[in-house]
Parts: sequence; C-alpha cells; structure tokens
Amino acid sequence: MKKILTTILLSIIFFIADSGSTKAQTLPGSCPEGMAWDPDIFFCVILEDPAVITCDSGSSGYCFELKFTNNSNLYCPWDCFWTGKANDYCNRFYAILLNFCVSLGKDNYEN
Amino acid sequence: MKTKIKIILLIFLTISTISCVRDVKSLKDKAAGIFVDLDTIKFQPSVEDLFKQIEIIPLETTSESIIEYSGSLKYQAYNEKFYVLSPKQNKLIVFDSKGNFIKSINKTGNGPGEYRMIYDFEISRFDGRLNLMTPYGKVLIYDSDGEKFIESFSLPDSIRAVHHFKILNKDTYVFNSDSENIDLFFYSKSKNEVVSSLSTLPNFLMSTPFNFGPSPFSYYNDSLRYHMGYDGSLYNIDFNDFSLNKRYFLDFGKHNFILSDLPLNRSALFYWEYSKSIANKIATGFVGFFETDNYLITRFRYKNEFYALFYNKIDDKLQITFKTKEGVELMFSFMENDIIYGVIPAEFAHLFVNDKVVSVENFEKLQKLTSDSNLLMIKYVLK
Repeated sequence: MKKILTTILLSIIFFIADSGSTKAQTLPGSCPEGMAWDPDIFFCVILEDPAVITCDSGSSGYCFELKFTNNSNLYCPWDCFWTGKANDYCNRFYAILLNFCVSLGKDNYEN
Repeated sequence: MKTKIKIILLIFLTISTISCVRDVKSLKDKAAGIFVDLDTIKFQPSVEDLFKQIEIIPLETTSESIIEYSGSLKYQAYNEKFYVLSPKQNKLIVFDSKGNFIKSINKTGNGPGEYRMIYDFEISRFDGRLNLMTPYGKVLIYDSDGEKFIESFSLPDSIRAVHHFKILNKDTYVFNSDSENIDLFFYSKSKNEVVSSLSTLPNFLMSTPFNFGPSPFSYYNDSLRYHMGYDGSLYNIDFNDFSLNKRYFLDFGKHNFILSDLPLNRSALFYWEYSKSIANKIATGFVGFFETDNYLITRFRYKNEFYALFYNKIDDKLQITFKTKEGVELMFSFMENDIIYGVIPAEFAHLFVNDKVVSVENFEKLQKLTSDSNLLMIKYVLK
C-alpha cells in the first residue's frame, strides 16, 4: 500500500515537474501569487510581465531553484537555493512534499 | 680531490634528478588514474584498518544551539572550537571542543554588517577574521569573535549567485556558483574586481544528484583542491594563474560516470530518477575529498548507498566500504589537522557508531542521546 501511494505521489510530482520548460514548480491549484494554472500545458504561467518580477526575500520563491543537496541517505535531500534569476521559482511547500515522498518511498529504490 | 668532489656532486645530482622525475611521474600517474575495481575489491575493512580512534562529540542541546540538519550545513574547526553554519537558520553556531555551546552569531538585518541570507563562511587562516558570505555575492568581515564588523565587499552585479567560497591569500578569494554558467570566480580585494573566472560545469548539472556536495573546495596543507562531484577527478587550483590542474583521478573503469552520456537540459527531478536508474552501474556523486600526507579519502554514491574510499598515497592500497566489519557506516563532513569529523542527527547515531567502535565512556554518552538531541559529531582519527 505504501509503495502504491508513494509511486502515485511521485508520478504526479515528476509529471508536473517535467511537463514544461519553465522552472516554476507547483501543484494544480497551488500556483504562487502572480501566476495562474494553465490546463493546456499543465503548468503555472506568469500573469504579469516577467520583467516586473522581483526576487523574494525569504528562503524560497522567485530567484530560488529546487536543488538536490543530500550528502547522506538520511533525509530531506531537496531544498530551495538562491540563484538570483527572476525566472526561477522554488516552492518551499513543494520541496517539503518531495522530501516526504522520498522518505516514504525509500524502500522503492534500495537494492 | 677536486675530481672526487665533482664525482660526489654528480652522483648526488643524478640521484636528485631521478628522484624528482619519479615524483613528477608519480603525480602524472595519479592524475591519469588510480584504478578502482569495484567488481573485485574487498568491501569490508575493519575500523581498526582505517582509524586509530573514533570518538563522539554530542553538541549541546539548548534552544539557541539546536541545529536543523540539512545538506547545506558548513563546518570549520578553529582554535579548539567548532563552527557550524546553518543557512536555513541564518546563523553561525559555535561550540567548544567538547561540544558545549558557546554562542551563536546572527546578524540578520539590512544595516551595515548585516545580511538577509548567509550561505558560507570561513575563519581566515591568514588573520583569524570571520568571513560570512551571502548568496548574492557579498562578503562581510568581522573580528575573530564575530562581534565587531570590520569591512565588506561585493562581487559585480553580473554574478547573481554564489554558493561557496575560500580565501586563497590575504587579497584573493575564490567563489563557486551552483547556478551561473561561469561558475568559478577569483576576486582581488585590492583591485576590487574579478581577476579571473572559469566555467567548470555545464549549468544543467549543477542542481542534480551528480553534483550535490556541500562544497567543491578542500584544503591540503597550503594547497586548495577543487572537485566537480560527478566523477572521481580532483583538481589543484594554481594560485598564480588561477588554472585547474588535475591532481588525482579515481578511475572506476566501466563504472565511471561519463558526462556526455547524460541527457541534456532536463529537470532536477528527471536527473534524480535517472541517477537511480544507473545507480547499480555507475560511481558518482562524490561528496568531499579529504587529503592528508598519507591518504586521499572521499565518499561516493554507488548502488544507492554512500561508499567511503581510502587511497593510501604511500603504498597505493585502496580500501572501500559501505559498512565496516563492525557494522557501521562512515560519515565525513569536514577535516581539520588530519582529523575527519562527521556530523549526523542524533536519531541516526546507531547507523554510524556502536559499542564495537568507541570506548565504553563514549558509548555511554551515545546512550543518553534522544531523538530531540542536537547533532552528533563523530571524530575519526586517521592511522
């Protein structure tokens, strides 16, 4: 059951992440402010002129990118990292969800 | 008499020359490849084969000293103190050599000597000053206690993000970016400019499981090494012309990671899935290199586990292990004075330490830890 649940969750996440060239990573219905869900391309699109986007001041959002940071098999390999590029977007919630799936699905990719 | 002296000098010069040629040849050989045969190598050395001693140093647990574990933590041991930088918590936390909490340094703000984010730090080995680096390319310099702000400098605006740095000398710093196409920058404080830059990695590779080490830099005596993480190459940074020269190459033969085999420009998640699909065949994801006069040590990912590799520079002997004979995994986070330290969350201590590898006293300390305890340092004293 755990494997099935994990596989479904991971499949949804990977499909979303791989379905567009933009780096905005999110889930349907959870687009960040200034973006809207486009069902045709199955991705969040920017509503406003991209030139007006400024970087977020926290530890995720615009100018951040999802990055694999793990140096052990312990937990939480995904995190948002500063890139300074206004087109990059990293959703902290998404990173947490991904880490949850990795933790849940660990036995799926062990030897 | 003069003839005898000439002969002795000639013999001495010949021996010296042969010796030098051998050294150069040896260096070239190691840059060309240290062959690692994963199919035949003995995988389970004993802790006694590798270390003189293993000790544990639990870091004190207080509301101010608790550290959120992540792959982006940075460490340094300096003047009998441990410094741990937590970018997520925006602060540098200081412990004494026994793990007792001393203080935390948090300069979050928008004023002079303050930062919004902090990604790396170094206490300069030249003047003992604390250097804090923001990801948007600013370095803030404080006195050795981190109390008094002294000065700061910023990289040009064209460099949008940097993630790691080291101090080459009193004037020159080297920065590495995980997101810029040109990813290695050499900055002169006196000239207030980037004096040289290099592109060492394709941009798409930077956020993947093939290149995710906490830092690409490592010191060996007065030399600074650089690694890219996806394969077993280790470079020396030439301080004169700011070039990279390959110093070692761990050659895994058919298990080598070949960059040109990798599909281009896909998402980080694609590469994560891809890394799992090739995990049983390829050795990659090298996390840190640690070099002493006797050893070259690294950890790499193979078959979805982290293996530790010990190359003895004196007798060319290789030892690789996922778990030692005593049943413990090895974790290496940073090195100081030929002692390697591993840092882990206390709840995972049982994977890395057991009663067979530490003293009774140390094991008792281990048994007092709970899942709420602060991080645990493991001190590996090399043979």
